[in-house]
Amino acid sequence: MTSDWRARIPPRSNTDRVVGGVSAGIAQAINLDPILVRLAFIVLTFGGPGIPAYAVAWLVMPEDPRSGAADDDARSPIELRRGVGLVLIVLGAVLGLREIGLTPPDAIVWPILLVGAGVGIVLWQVQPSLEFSRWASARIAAGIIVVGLGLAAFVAGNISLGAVRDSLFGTVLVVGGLALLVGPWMVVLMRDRADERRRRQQSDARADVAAHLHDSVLQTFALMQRTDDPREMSALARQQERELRRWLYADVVDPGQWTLKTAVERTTGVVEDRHDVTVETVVVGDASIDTAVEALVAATGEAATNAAKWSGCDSVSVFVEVTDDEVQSFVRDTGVGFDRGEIAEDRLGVKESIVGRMERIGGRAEIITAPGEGTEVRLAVPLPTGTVGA
Amino acid sequence: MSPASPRVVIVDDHRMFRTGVRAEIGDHVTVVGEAEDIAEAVAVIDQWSPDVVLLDVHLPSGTGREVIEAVQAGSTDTKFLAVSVSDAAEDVIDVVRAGARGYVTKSISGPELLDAILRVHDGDAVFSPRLAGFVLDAFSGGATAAPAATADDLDQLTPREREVLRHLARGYAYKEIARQLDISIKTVETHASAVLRKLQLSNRNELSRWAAARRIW
Repeated sequence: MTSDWRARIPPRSNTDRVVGGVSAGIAQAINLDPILVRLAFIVLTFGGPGIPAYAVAWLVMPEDPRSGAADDDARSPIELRRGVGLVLIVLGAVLGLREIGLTPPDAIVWPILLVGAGVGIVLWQVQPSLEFSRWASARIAAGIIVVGLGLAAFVAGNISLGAVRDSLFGTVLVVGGLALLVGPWMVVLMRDRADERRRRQQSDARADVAAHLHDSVLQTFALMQRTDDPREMSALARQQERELRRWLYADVVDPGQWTLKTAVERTTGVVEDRHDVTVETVVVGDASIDTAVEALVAATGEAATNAAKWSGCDSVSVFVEVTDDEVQSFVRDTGVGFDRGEIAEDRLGVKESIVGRMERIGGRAEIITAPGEGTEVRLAVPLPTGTVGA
Repeated sequence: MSPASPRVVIVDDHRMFRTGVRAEIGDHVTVVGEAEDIAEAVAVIDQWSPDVVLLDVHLPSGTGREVIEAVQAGSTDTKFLAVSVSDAAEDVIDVVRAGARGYVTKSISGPELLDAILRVHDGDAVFSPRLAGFVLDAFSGGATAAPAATADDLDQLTPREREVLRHLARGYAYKEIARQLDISIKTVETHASAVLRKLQLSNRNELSRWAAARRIW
């Protein structure tokens, strides 16, 4: 719930900040000099709701995720600048108050400031875990100021035998100030809980993967113990190995995003499973899938299937390479081979699925073989537009 | 077991794999030691100065690269053959760049593994189809990106070397490649060794960028 709208809000700046990084964050988002934004806030502070606006912006804007260790090194001068900024803001607020006619006597202002600072320092000690030093000081100060304003207004109202309106105003300010003081902790608590939930989801996902892997590995072992057929045993082991690899090396690709590489690997994997052979698959470069590439992959699978079925050897090599202008595929076995003159018309596998398919889409197919010499099927199609990368 | 049979150390953190390999090759080579982590490997290799070390790419405390670097600091004639189940190209390339003379996958058959060990012992490079593919991939980006005239010799493969690698990736043995390309087996070996040397010595940016890109991927 938080992520979608928060994602569109510019983050507070970590590196360039006087108080909380709000100005720099806004400045970056709208491409202005941070000084201008800061000036705007200062003007607002004296002429309007500058501090509450800043506080709200501060609450709403997320922390810049690009916080780094370097931030720590730069902390102390920022701390200093922030302190100076705070003092200036407080002084400005007091002066501003006097300007608009509220003249809280020194006897009230100073105690409040001192008490506020004291409370801030105490809380700082008590709650270091809440990233206090990083950002809460600004809000504490804002809260104290507003509470102070409220009290001042209240007192001023009472002294001048003021109307209920003034008292209300003062009460609102006090409540607002308290909200500013307490609000951050609430927000932090909620954020922590959201973080914790996200972490738990992640570890759940990991546990899912682990459970799946363990389950399928155990299944495979159980099956292997129950079979006496070494071929079946190695087929099971191979299948399991491939599945593990897919999990471990993040080859879990949505079929809609298949590229040449994933398609070839998937196809040769199927041949391995069906025909109980090892298909050593090497793909160099990658390309997006179009009709021609799809046909090439299918023909490659067909050639590998033929090799698995007829060559008599238990290993087939598949090499696919993306060159400057075409995609080439080589399927090779070192098996019995055959005499091309003797391919009967009914060996449709070769004639139709491989040669015919390649020719129809403007590619090439060549079969090099002789009895006892093994077989190599060489395929090529023109490179599709929009190659993923060579 | 002739006196000429190479002395081998097996470095792998899986006892089952070490036992299996020992059983498969033990009749033809002398397995002088085993190790299951980097420190042990360095100690065993120092003690025995074996001819060939079968080196797992991934070890519990690090990678095979660290073993090679630690051992080569004391400079021996020991040769390394990387063995792995890993498909992660950058890890394999990393170990080869550290000085391994070749790379084979753990699914390799006993006789093939033995052949690879003997070839590494003879000073040849051993390219499994997969390693050939990785190397073609690693060197492909630069061929189009860098102007050939300015590129260092080490940074580019010659057309002939590419051709040899392509055949290796297609599953051809050296002997078959020699026949296909109408050159001697010795020449094929020379090309393969040259590729290995380029892979190890090139400090081409493209190679590290390629590795970095793979890692992000």
